[in-house]
Amino acid sequence: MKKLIYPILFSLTLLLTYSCEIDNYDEPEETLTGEIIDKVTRQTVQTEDGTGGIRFRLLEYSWSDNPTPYYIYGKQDGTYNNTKIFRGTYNIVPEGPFVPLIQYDANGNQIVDESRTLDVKGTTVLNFEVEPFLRIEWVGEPIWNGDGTITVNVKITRGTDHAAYQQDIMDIFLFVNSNPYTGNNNYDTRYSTEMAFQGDEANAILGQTLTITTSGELPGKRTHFLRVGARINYTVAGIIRYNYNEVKSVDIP
Amino acid sequence: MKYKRIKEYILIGATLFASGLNFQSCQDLDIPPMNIIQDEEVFGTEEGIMSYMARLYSQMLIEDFRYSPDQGFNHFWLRMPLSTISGESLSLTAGQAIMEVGCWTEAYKLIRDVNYFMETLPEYTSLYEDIYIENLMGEARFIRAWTYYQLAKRYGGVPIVDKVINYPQVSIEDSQLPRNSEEETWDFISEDLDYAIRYMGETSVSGRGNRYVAAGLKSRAMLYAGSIAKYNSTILFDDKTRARLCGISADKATDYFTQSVEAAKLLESKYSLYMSGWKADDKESQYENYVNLYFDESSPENILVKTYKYPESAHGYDAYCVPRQFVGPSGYSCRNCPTVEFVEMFDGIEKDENGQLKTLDENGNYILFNSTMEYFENAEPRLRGAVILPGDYFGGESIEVRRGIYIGSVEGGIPSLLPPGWTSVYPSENIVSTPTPSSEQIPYQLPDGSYMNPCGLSGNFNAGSDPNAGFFARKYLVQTYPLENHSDQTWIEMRYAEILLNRAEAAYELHLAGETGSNYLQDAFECINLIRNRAGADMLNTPADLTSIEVIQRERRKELAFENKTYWDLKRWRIIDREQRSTTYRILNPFYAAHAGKYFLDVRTDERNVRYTFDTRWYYQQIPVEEIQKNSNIVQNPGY
Repeated sequence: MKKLIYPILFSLTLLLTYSCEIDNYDEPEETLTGEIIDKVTRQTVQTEDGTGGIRFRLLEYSWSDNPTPYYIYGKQDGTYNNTKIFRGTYNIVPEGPFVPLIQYDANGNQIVDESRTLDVKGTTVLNFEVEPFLRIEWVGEPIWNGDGTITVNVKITRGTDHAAYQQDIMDIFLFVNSNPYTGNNNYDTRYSTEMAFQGDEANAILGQTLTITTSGELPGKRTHFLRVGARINYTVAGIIRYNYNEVKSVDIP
Repeated sequence: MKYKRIKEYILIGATLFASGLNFQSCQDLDIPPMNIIQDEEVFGTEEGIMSYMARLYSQMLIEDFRYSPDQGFNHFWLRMPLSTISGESLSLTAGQAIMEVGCWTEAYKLIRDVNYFMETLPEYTSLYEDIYIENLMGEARFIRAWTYYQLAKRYGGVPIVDKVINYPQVSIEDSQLPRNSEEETWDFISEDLDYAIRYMGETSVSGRGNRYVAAGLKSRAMLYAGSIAKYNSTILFDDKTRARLCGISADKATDYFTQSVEAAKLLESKYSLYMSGWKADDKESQYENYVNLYFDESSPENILVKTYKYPESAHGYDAYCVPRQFVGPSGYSCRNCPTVEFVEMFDGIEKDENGQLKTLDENGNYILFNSTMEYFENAEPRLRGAVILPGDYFGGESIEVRRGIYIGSVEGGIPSLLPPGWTSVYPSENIVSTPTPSSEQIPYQLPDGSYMNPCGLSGNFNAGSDPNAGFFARKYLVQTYPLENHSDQTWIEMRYAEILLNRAEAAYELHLAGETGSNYLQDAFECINLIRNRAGADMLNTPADLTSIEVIQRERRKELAFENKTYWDLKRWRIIDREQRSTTYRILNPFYAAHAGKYFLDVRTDERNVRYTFDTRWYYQQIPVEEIQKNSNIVQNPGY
């Protein structure tokens, strides 16, 4: 038995260390960063975190002509930053609440393709200029009414002249939350106010100053975060997405 | 030396023997394996064909007692019926809105089996009469159309496979079919069903299709297709084939709705609503009639059923869904508790100006009742038939639903326990409740000296963990509860009420689209009133009472509740994302007011504080990633 111990140990060492070789591929360390900018106002396009905001489709053509898409997501403020991208040649297109950068006619032919193909190496800055479906601007500051409600004034206008992307407004939503991440993905149903519309009835308010008040009674002695979202009846990558204005906070005494 | 010699002899002998063996088996062994049943045995006899068909039907994608959105088809678990993600009811297991699991893989297995049947049967036509073959070929098309319907309503356009693809006769590359457009997929279903309607027989044994079953499916499928053309806003093209994988051009809607109406009309006078115990102006008889509809095997309303028989084939519907007081040894119950949102749709209950249950008086105090059933005494009989109301009788027992005893003062009325919409727990003062199961309840002494358990036998004991909504689904639940998991009642997959609703909806859509060929509005009006009459609901007076499509949608939701239909309806109408937006459904909690000797009903948000949000991407479900890895020509649906 004793004689066997050394051969067994030897084989085990061989077995266990056999694949002890350094992975021949570098870890992803390139950075892809940039902004989604409104063509007219030159501001970044406000969205929400996660799937309902801005998603970038990356197709890596370094290896295959028919790559599996890879997706990364943008931030609430319309910027994006991913520091773990493999070096390679990518075709990149963002999808979000703005006129699509790849468009098709009724027969499935691509008629517009503003996607970008480039080498991602080091820190690659890539900005896209887009036309948001809707622009939502604050008119003045939110007003604390003293009775547990806050009133806001906003102006909503269309962000594009493209008739194919001027569907009726479905709803306008005053989102309220207890932290700055507020939007359709994250809001307090008790205090937020939804205005839902049928058909074209909301189109009359385009360009007008619209006043919305929070629902319920907001608890005092804390900060509330508000913003207004609105969306047209158009689906981008399976989701009817909101355009937003910037988040504002209100301190309640 | 001698020893060596012997060894040689043995060697030579063995070699000769071995070569002899070898030559002996040099005979043609090209016979079919004896342990596998051959086509000839299956297709050569009617019994063989019957067994092939039996297997196809057993694997058919029917959303029945053995289907749930988290486990898929033909699975015993029913912890969260489909109704618990559509807002019809709540289940402890359903903690959020989810994407249904889908059926891509099993659907294509079944399609292959059907295609194999259709390609092999013609080789045996000489053995049978033509009519027999025609019927079977029609039936195979019907099963294939059913399967494609299940695919199309989940995924949109899918690859159309109408023949058996065999490897290596067909290379791997050639077998990797891209998706067809959504329109082609629905049209393929329509063609298959037209063939089935033409060639299948007029009658069939229970559980199998005939031409009217095929026509019923056509009315269902074409209504779905028409709704997609009208309401869908998701578009996806395949960059290579240019097929429109998601979405149908809006101008096709009229065609699909017309097909739906025409198919539904084929069933007229062949089936009728179940009215055997129904008496005019007698709510009790109308309620009993509605309950019995789900159990009477001879019902003229049944179009396609799926039968069960213990022990060969059983399901657990009762075990999972009984009220808590019937809980079995494994501890399951209450997996199908209707929401207040659902109950509010019915007639004959007092509601406030927002259409919500009115349980508070003008001063915001609770209305007091002598019993929990008093509030529902004039309710539409169909509600009582579909839902066990708190305090109603089921299985020979009163279903006692009580959240607790209110021991505060009742002078000047009892104010609302919580502000509307609040999700917090009940205040502890003035309420006696029990945090433990009924067996451990400590009876509370009432002011008159008698004792009462704080919670009812089926009451909500564990605030926050029992999803008891105050109601239980009654449809299909047997009154004499069998041994746990021995349930074998029949599932009615398609009944005439659905056909009438299909017809009414499609006809009304055609009326809205300005089609005047047939008097569509009048037709929709008559269909809806047939349903309402049987249900004991308020009748429509004139066709003008059909003020919007919502009247018909609501009727459908009431009639087909807990039958695994509403979820798909909400999907095809593209409204479920509006109903489920961070939504907490409401429940009904009855309390006993000790000092008044009466009950009051508190409507509040689900105490588990579960929120439902339907992700609009789910309108087209995710195609399984492993299927795309196997076939890179499949384009994933948007957003995944």
